[in-house]
Order: sequence, then structure tokens, then C-alpha cells
Amino acid sequence: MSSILDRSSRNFLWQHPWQLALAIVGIALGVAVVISIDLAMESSLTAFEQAGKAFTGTATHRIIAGDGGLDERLYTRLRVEQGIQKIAPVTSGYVELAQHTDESFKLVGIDPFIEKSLQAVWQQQQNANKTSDFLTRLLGEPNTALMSEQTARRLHLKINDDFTVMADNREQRLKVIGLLAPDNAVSEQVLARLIISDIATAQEVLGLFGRLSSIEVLMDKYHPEILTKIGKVLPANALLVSTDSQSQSMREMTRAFSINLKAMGLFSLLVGMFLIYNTMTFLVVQRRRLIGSLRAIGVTRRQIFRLIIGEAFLLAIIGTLIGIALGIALGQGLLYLISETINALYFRIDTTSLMVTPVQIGKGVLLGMGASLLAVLPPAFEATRFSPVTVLTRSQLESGSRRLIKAAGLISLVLIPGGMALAFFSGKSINLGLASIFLLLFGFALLTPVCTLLFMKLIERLFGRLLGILGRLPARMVSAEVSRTGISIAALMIAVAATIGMDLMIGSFRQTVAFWLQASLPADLYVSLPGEKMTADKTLADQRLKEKLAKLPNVQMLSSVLHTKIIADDEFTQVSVFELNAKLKKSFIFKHNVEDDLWNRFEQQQSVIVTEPYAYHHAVRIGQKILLQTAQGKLPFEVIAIYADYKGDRGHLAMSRQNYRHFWPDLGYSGIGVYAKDGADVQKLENQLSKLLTAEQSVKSDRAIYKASMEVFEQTFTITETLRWLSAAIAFTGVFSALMALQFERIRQMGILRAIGITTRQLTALIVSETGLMGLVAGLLAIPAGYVVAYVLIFVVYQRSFGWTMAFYFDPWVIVQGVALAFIAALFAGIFPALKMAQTKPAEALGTE
Amino acid sequence: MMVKRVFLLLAIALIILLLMVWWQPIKFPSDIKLTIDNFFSATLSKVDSFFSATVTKKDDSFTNILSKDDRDFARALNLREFKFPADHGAHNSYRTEWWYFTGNLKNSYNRKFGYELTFFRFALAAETPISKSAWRNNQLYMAHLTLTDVKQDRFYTAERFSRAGNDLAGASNKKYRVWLYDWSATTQGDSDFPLRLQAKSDEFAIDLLLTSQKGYVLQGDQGLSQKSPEPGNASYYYSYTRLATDGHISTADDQFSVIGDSWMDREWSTSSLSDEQSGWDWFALQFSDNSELMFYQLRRKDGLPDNNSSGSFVLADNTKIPLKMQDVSIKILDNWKSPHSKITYPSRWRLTIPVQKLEIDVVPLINNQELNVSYRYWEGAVSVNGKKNGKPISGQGYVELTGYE
Repeated sequence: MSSILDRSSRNFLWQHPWQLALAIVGIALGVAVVISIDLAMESSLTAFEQAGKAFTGTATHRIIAGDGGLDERLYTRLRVEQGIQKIAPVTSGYVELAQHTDESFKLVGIDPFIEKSLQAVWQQQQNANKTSDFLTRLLGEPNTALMSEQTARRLHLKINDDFTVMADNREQRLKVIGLLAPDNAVSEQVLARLIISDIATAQEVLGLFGRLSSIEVLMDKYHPEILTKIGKVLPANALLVSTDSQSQSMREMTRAFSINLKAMGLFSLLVGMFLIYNTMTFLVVQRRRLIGSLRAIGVTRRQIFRLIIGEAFLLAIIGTLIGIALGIALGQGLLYLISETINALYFRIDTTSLMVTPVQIGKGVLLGMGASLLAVLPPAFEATRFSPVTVLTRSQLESGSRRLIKAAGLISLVLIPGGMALAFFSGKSINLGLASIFLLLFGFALLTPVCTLLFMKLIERLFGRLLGILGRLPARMVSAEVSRTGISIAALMIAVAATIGMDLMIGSFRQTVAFWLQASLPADLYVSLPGEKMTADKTLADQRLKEKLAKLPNVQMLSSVLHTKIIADDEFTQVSVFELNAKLKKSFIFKHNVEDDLWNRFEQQQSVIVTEPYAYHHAVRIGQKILLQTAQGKLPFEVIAIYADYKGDRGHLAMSRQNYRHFWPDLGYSGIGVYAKDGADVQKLENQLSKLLTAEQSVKSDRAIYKASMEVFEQTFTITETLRWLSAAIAFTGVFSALMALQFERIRQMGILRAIGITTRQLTALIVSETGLMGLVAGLLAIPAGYVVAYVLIFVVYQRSFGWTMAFYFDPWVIVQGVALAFIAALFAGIFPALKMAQTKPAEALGTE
Repeated sequence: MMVKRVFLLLAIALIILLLMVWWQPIKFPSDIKLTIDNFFSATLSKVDSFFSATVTKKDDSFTNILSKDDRDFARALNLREFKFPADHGAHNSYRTEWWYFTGNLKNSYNRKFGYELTFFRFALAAETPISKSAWRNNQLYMAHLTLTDVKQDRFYTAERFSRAGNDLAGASNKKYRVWLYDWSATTQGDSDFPLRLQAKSDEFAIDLLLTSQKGYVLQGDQGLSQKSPEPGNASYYYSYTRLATDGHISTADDQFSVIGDSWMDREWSTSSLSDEQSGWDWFALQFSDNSELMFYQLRRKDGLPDNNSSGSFVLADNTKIPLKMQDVSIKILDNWKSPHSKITYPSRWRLTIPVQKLEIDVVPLINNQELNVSYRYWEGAVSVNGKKNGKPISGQGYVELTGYE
């Protein structure tokens, strides 16, 4: 018996290759997007984690400092005075290759004589004899360096070759004296963007004399006294952090970003589920006679169920496999976008290559298989309901579904308000915020069939009067098969709503940032002073430069800012230290009413102003005090105001320079704002200014800064945009194919129409207007749905994710685009079947079933 | 049937998937393999060419560098006037230098211990580099710490390395202080002694106070100790032959208050041994009559004692009697094969010095006192028994055996 079943199944499936392909494509694309996001995101984060971990091997902790860097004598104190043995000093910084200017490497200065138990990457070389040679030279010969075999090959370097790097404002030659052979993918990736040298060479090349970037510490549980010993000599600007907590906080930092991306992946998978559901339903409905006959000859319900699930299983396997392969390829593409965004928003990632782990593949398999089987359950159950006696007719099927549609409409009336309630009453949870969006979209989808029926009735009335029977027919055809058309319309609606929602959100965000940027750039010219804020020489140079700027004719006044890090609550907090003037004071956009004496308090009292994201993430209110680590211990600083800032989503503190200089060492400036006298030629001033600057310093006009900032903004949204287009494209292909399938299913019906005298041209018009109508309904319904999605994204998800509040900017063009998109996509979906039908002779069409 | 086929397909599909994924030019992370390397031993195998001619696997590039600028280093050619505390400090213009402390200790229950704490300095190049970086430094320090626990028949060893840069290691010319990380020998007052030795590893530690009993002895010819005939193949060498010692030692599970006698050797040179010499047996013995004997027998590659072997006998009143090779006869009574290195060392000697009417047997407190560190040698506590002028005499000391293979 089962062989008959198998054969019937196989024969039938082979007759519908397009349907099969569609289902497979649906699952494959869904899985591909989900796992590509997962892979790319994980790879970026592991790259960052491993860069720290694999390099220091077994280190469990790390001593790091704010911008002042660590005094190298701290290492001596720890090692000589405190007798802590398992520690390693590191001085690192970035250098650019002179030959390939776009390639930057991290130059890591190490001490070859650290304890072997730290198992640093250069201590793990298999060929110990070779290693020892270059480590002795590394120490003894200045400007010698190690790199990985792969990097050397890429740069066409051999042992004893020289290469030139740009660092500390000058060209410097380094000599490759040894190649490291990473014995696994992780260290290979870590080493790909590293140049290792002795700590002396690193200090000389980077100009970081007297400074360490970090001290790596291996602390086992048997020696808890090490903690106390380190605590005894740790300076105020330094922190001892565990590497675990560091990577944890890094994950915490990018969590919101990652959740949002993954939500988009899930959205694609949902669309994929729709496709396989649609296909299997089609395949089941098509076979209702066959299934009825099978039941009549004694095939049980269970066997029928197994048959359908078996078919789905097969499709799911193939789809998932293709999806994983596709996902890996897609992941390669996304990796760049994601790591760029992480670089811009969070922290620097030096190496990125896609790391595929069995776990992630497993996740993809589970998701693909699970989602497919879940989507196939309804049609599989439906198949078992076909009675052996009366082979169900379509009308019966439809009348049954009418009841369902009503129920769905009612459920949606619960889901939509429920979704809104969840959105606004779920505290700070990003996941629940996103869940509410899914809930809302689902609610709107359930509402779609009801709305479709109503809309079609309206159309029928309207066009029926004007065009008679042919005017009524398209609307009727949609209504008559609402169990199938409704789902397609709902799917299209969801896709368009998501697009509208995202578009509105990004647009609002862009407007908000643009407005904020314009307001917060009061100076005419901005001098940027990048580089490591570590050494006293640089501070002095900064101050001299500022004096020179002030003396220039046509300069009315200056302002300055220093971006630095201060320890608050045992973690580094970004602090912007301002030297304000009247214009700059006006540029702050406060999130509340401020009192007149605010600036006075800012300058005179132990106070800070916090950015909105900081206030959000740390639940800080005005009047509250933040404890900041100073050389005199922890001191309270009162929060006196909260202001808008969209530079990063972690937020920062703002402090007056006067205040800062009381408690912390002067580290110079990160930027100087130059205000020209009225009527002065700003362009000329800019030229004058640029002559005073070193190579790495630069001067930009407020316009140029604005432009550059907006570019960064666009860049950080590239990944979001890309994923949005990806899921939209998948959704449209899906809906497009579903609509096409729907039309092909009706060849017989069309044959009848042709037989009773409808011309091919009329038939084409009929089909195209039917799908067009469907598109229109979807588009119209997508407007409120998209609007609600945008609203929840802006005021719930993004605020929770990043702590930013945005103004809602309504762009009618987005709506028009959305509706047009739905309409045109649907219209096109009708054209191909229409042409096919037009070519089919009525007799042939009637004979097909 | 269907189910079976589906599973078959699933299996095939999984294989295809695996193949696909492996074939992709994509990396799979795996656990980092932890390989314990021999970096230090390899590094020091070059360095040890300074104080012994035992290097068999010479690294050509490195030796070339060394021989090239060998002439840039100062050499022990002439007699010099020793000044303290300046000469307790480093002599960076010479290639090699060491501060050797050894001693025999016992606790109040007469439980016996031996210890060694040695600081070595090696110059990677003669010139002092000019750099603003405190880490740019050509002086490399190595230190060895051992403890012999006779009762437990255990021998503990540990070693440390560092450059002198950033004050991680060094030897002061202003007051007696030599250190490498937290291991140090530091004077406790304004004069050179008492000297406090502090060193610890994960397993054991010493904290001892050394007080000079007899002052220093200039070895060789007024401190110039010729090691082979070529001029300059010599070192500057002085010793403190008897340093009253008390303090604490600790092992993983125990701590002991101890007293005893230590010996300090100071030596610096640029080259010492000649190509024909393979190593030395060095004796530093303290006798019950308050006299001491230092003697090193240089061994030639053909197995015979070298003519340049020499030493000194220090009487109770600190009078030094120089000894030449022909003054001392050494007979090996027993051998011991190390289970770790499979090297056979002599393990019992009869020393006869006819001019002093001295005949003694020297016996290691325990056989296994081999340092299996970067540079391998045997250095251990010994006991002495025999006759002087016909009267019984006893003693203790340390023996160092290098260049055995």
C-alpha cells in the first residue's frame, strides 16, 4: 500500500515542478537570511573576542586604563615589588602600511620573557627552535617584527625583508624577522591584522614612551591574594577587568543591534514559512480527489498525514541545505556590512572572516526543518479531513473558510490592541518590543481576509454598475477564493507594511539626526586632533596649537572638547570635556526645561550633563549623583541635565574643562571649534588653519562635518537597509509566485470563461485586474499596519535598543511608494498567467483537470 | 518505505552538507593547541656558550653575531683594583656576569637543606642602545633558585628571565642590590652585608639573611682568574667563602626556620673557556676548622684535566693559599645517571691536597640535584669527611658540574 502512496506522491509532485521549486526557494531564502545574519554577527564578535583571548592565551584578567594609558612602571611595581608572576605587558597601536595605505595593522609590543603559562600566540609555535631565534632578535634588534605566514605572503614579504609603516606621523621601517604559523583558524584570523614586535620597538614606532596599553593577568582561583596585591598599586585611571566580563560587556553593548538584525532574519524566515505553507496547501487542494480516492480504497488518515508530512520533510531538507549554503555565501557579504557598523558604533574590529561553527549550522537546520514542518501542519491536517465518500468541492471548502475568516477577524481585534499594549507595557525589553511588532503584523494579517471581502464588495458595487459583469468578475473572483487569495494578500500586506514601517523609521531617524547635527555644530571650523591621548608631549603640543589658533586674525573665539574615558561604577565611561562659549551653550538640545543657572552650575559645581542614551541605559535622573573615580578616590558628580546626542548608543557624560582639570590630568584636546569673526572669509581662514596642523590633524567646516556625519549615519543603516530589501525581495518573490500559482490553478475556470465567449483580451484584463485588485487591497491595508510598525519601532524598539528618542516624521511619499509597490508587484504577477491563458485553447484548458 | 527513503535521503543530504561546508574556503575554529615550547632553553643554549664550552647545537646566525662584536666587549686582561660596593654591581661592558649564592642550612631538629640562588647577566650587544623607551635594553638577566630537601629527597628548581629594561632586573653600583623581578639579594644597611636573599616560586621560597664572617677573597691572581692560555680568556673573580646565614625556607606544605653557612661567588668576563675545554667541576667547601677550599677542575674534550684548573685554600685567618692543577688530585669514586636527562655525572670524589696534608671524601647530600632548566647542569649540596694533618675533619659545601653529556 505504501508503495502506491509513494508513487502517487512522486507522480504528483513531478507534475508540479514549479510549485516544488517555489517551496524550496522559500525555505532556502528564509534559512539563508537567518543564518547569514547569525554567522556574520557571531563572526564579528568572536573576531573581537579572540583578538584579545588567543593573543594572551590563558590570561583571565586585564588591567586597562583610560586615555592616559598605563604607566609602564606599574608593571615593574606589580612584578618586582608585588612579585606577581603571571602578567604580561602590552603596548599596542595602529600603523598603516605605506605601500597599501588602506591597510592598517595593529602593532602589538610584547615582552618575550613573560611566563610560559600565559601561552601567548607567539609562545605557541610548534617549531620551538625557529621561534627562539626570532624572539632573541626581537628583543635585541630595534625595529624587528613578526607576522603570520599568511600576512607575509599577502604582502609579498620574506624573512629579513623591510617594510614601511606610517605611525606617529612619520614613515618607519620594520624588518620581518620571523613568521608565525598559526595552527588553527582562530589564531590565523587573530594574526591576520597583527604585527608583533618587542615592546621597546612598539613604543619607539608608536611614540608611546613610558606607556602600556594593557597588562594581561593570569589569575587562578588558588591565588586570590593577587587581586589584593594588584588593588594596592592600581592607579585611579586603571581598571582590572576579567576577560570574560569584557567580552560579556562587549556582547551586552551590541545586544540591541544584534537583536534587531536577528528580528529581520526571523521576518524573512516567516515569509519563507508562508511560501511552503502556500505550496503545500496548493498541493493538497489539488489532490483532494486523489486523496479522496485513496481514502476510499482504505488508506487511513494517518497514512495521508504521513504522506503530506513526508513530502514536506523532503522539501524542507532540500530547502534547508540550499539555504545553509546560500546563507554562508550571503554571510560573507553581510560580514563586511555588520563589522563596519560595529566599527562605527561600538568598537574596533580588526579582523573579519566568516567563521562557520557546527552549532550555527545546526541552528540553521533546526530552524529550517522546524519552520517548514510547522508551516505544513495545517494543510496536512486539512488533507486528513477529506472524506472518502464525498470528495469535497471547492465551494464546500470555501464556505468552511468563511467561518474561519470571521473568526480570524475577531482574533485580530484582540491581537492588534494586544500588540500595542505589549509594545508599551513591556518595560525595557527589546525582545518583547519586537514580539509586539510580530503580533501587530499577524493581527493585521488576520484582518486581511475580512477587509478583502469588504473591499471587494465595494469594488463590485462600484465597477459593476459601470462595467457590468466583466467589471464585477475580478472582485468576485477574489472573494470567491478568499481562502487562497486572502493569504497571499496578507503576505503581501505584511511585506509592504514592514517596508513602510522601516522606511518611516529610518526617515524619522535621519531627520532627527540631521536636525540635531545642524543644531550642534555652531562653530565655523572644526579642528580635529586624533591620536592616542597618552603622552605629556602631545598635551603640550595641543595647547600650543590652541594658543596659535586664538591669535589668528579673524578668529572671534574658540571652544574645545576632549573625548576621554573615566571610570564610573567600575567601568569606563565616555566623557566629553567641554570648554564652552555662548554659541556652543545654545547648541545643546535638552530633553527637558532647564533653569538659567545651569551653565553656572556646570562650570562651578561638581556636576555633569548626561546624554539621553546614558540616562536611559543607566536609569539616571536629574539630581542623581554619579560616582567617578579620581586620584582622590570616588567622588560624586551631580547630574544636572540630560541632552540629546546620537553619536553612539552607549551614551556619555559631558563635563566642563574646569571641573575636569580639578581631578584628572590634562590630556589635551580631541577637537577645537573655531568661530570666525562676522564677515570673515571662512575659506581663507581654513587655509590658514590647515598650515598649522600636522599630518594627522585636520580642519573641516561645519558643512563638511555635517556631511561626513550623515554619511556615517547612512553607513550604520546600510546593514538595516540591505536586510530590509532582502526580506522585501523574498516576500515579493514569494507573493508573486503564489499569485501566479493561484492563476495557473484556475486554467479550467478560465477555459469555461473562454468557452462562453470571453475574448483573450478580456481574459487578460480580467486576470490582471484581479491580481491588481489584490495588490491594491494589500497596499491599502499596509498603510495603517506600516504606520503602526513605524510607531512601535521608533518609540518602543529603537528607544529601548539605543536609548534615543526620535521625532516621528511622516513622509507621504513612503506610503505612496508602498502602495504602488504592492499594486505593481501584484499586477505583474498576473501578466504571465494571463498571457499563458490567452494562448491556451479553451478545449485544452477544460481538459486539463 | 517512504520513511526509510526519507532517512536515507537525509543521511545523504547531511553528508553533502558537510562536504559543502568543508569545501567552502571558510575556517572552523578549533581549540587552540597548547604546545609547551622550548624557547628559553633554545635561547639560553646560545647564552650558555659564555660560561661553558658545552654548546653542541650552536646556532650559526647567533654565534656569528656574537663573534662579530665580541671585540667590542671589554676583556679581563689586566689586574684591576676592586672597589665596593661598585663592583657588586653590573659590569655591562663585559659579556657575562654572575652572582652565585649557595649554602647548607639546617633547622633546629638538624634537618638539612641546601639552596642555590644565582643571578646571571648576559649582554646581547656591547653598546648601550639609545632610545626613549625604557624597555630598549641589551642586558638580559636569568636567575636560578634551587632547594635541596635532604629528608624528603627532593630537589626544587625554578628560573626567571628578564631584560634589565624598565627596572625589571639589574644590579646596582651604589649599594649591593641585584634583582630579577621579585627575586633579589639586597643589602640591609649602608654596608654590603648583611645581605638579604629573597626568592620564591609557586612551590618553594627562601628568605635568608647573610652576614659576612671572613671578608672577601680575590681568586686567581689578585682577582684575575685565567681560564685558558689566550689573553683575555679570563674572568674577574672574588668570593665570600663564609657567610653566616639564618632565615626561613618554605616548601608547598611547610616552613622552616634555618641557620647555616653560605658562599658567594662573583665573576664577570667576556670569554673564558677555549675550544678544547668542555666544562668544569667546581668545588666550594667549608671545613669544620673554619677554613675553605675553592677549586675548579676544567675538563678537556679528550677527557683529561686542563692545565688551567685552579683554586685556593682559605685559612681560618682568611689567608689565601693559591692552588694549581698539580696541587690537587681528584678521584671519582662513584657515578650517578640522571633519570631525567640520562646524563651520567660523577657523584663521589676523593680530593687530595698533599701540600695541605688534606684528604677528604666529598659526597652529595642527595644524588638528584640536576637543574633541568634552560641551561642544564648539576649543582648540589655536599658533605665532606676526611683528614687534615692526620686529624679528622668534616665540612659541607657545593659542587657544580657543567658540560656533561
